Amino acid sequence: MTSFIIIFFCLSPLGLKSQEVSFPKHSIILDAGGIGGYGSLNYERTFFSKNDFFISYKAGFSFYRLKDFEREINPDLLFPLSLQYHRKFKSHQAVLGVGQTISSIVKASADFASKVRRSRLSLSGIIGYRYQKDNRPFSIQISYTPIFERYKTFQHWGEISFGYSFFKKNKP
Amino acid sequence: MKPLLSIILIILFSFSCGKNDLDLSQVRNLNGDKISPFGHAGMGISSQYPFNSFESISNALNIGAEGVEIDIQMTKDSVLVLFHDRTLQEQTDLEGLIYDQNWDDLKEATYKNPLFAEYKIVSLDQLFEHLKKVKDYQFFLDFKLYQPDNSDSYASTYINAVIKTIEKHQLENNVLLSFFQQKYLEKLKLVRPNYKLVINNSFENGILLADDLNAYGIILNNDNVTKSQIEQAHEEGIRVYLFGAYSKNDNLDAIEKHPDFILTDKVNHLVKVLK
Repeated sequence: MTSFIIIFFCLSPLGLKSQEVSFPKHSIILDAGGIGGYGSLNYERTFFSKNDFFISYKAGFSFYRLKDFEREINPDLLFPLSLQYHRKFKSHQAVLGVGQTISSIVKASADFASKVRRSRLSLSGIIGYRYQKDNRPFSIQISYTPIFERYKTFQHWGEISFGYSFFKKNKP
Repeated sequence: MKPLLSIILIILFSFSCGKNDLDLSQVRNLNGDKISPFGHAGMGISSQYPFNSFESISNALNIGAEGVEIDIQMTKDSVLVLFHDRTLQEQTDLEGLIYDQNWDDLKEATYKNPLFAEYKIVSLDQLFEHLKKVKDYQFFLDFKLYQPDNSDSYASTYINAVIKTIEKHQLENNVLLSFFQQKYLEKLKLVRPNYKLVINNSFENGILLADDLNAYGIILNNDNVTKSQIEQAHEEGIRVYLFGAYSKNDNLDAIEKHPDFILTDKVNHLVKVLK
């Protein structure tokens, strides 16, 4: 698996062409699954691009429910944040990233005597494939997004994402 | 403008038709001619809360359920805990069996789902201790006996743990007790004849056993029982709990059979319909 990733990301100027390469500058992305839990709405911005790759950060928002278990308005909040490296092969992109999810969940206290809000950080990895035609706004991405909950418990997880991008042009 | 108005009116009309026209005044049963909504393991198996968790149960009761069905198992050191599955690993970050673990180890377990939530396993004692207005609700205790020990002494230890927990919180009138194993029912009836037993068996066997043990009721699967069978149970003075209401349609189907209680996965819907 590791060797596959190395080959995929390092050995490949195959997609390079001396033509104009476009990179999405801003994107709005809807994740089903992923590091935001069961789904999240995200903003992605490309902050570095060169030749056939670009690097973006992505920040999102999600919540499980508005009312807590005592039926008071007290939402469970999730903020998925990630840094992603994208290698372009024409319309195809290989994506590698790392993420942090800030969770703020309302639950019973350890002894169940009271209600508490717990905020935690969880680490995630992202290995994915994105399809987006050059200069076209719509994209779709499928990723494996394992989550290390509270840096403690490992969970296999995945996502499918649908994006809409706004472009800037780059000359390689 | 007119076509748009017509479309809106048609949509509104179709929604109003979709609402079931149940006539609850026709309900005849042994529960004061009303059907009481119970949450299945709290909010049910399709809820984002893990079933049998404190949060799930509290949520169901705060929505308006009159009671909850909960699954109970006993630890190695005789603590009653709320957990459904035989093994821990499917739902939590611990492995093994409840009856092989002590409570001190078990209370460290965290439910895997939903992600990031860290809900914990709760004991029956903790539930009764910390649930607000606990005496306003009914608790259908479904005892799961996965342990291989079939001895009388184990059964006595189990029954003692049940009685101790219930009486500590003075909830004798709020609990309904269901064991699949007849031996446990008989033992319990012997030492606490006033407790409300609910028989978990087929309709035919359930009626016979309920008569023998002078049980409060029987619990039946909504898919396998007819309205006339429920009427028959009522004629014999036996209340009927229906489980297997996993969807809104199941709720409506169950209501039409006029049981005394429905254990549902769609708590919100059932509470609204029965109001």
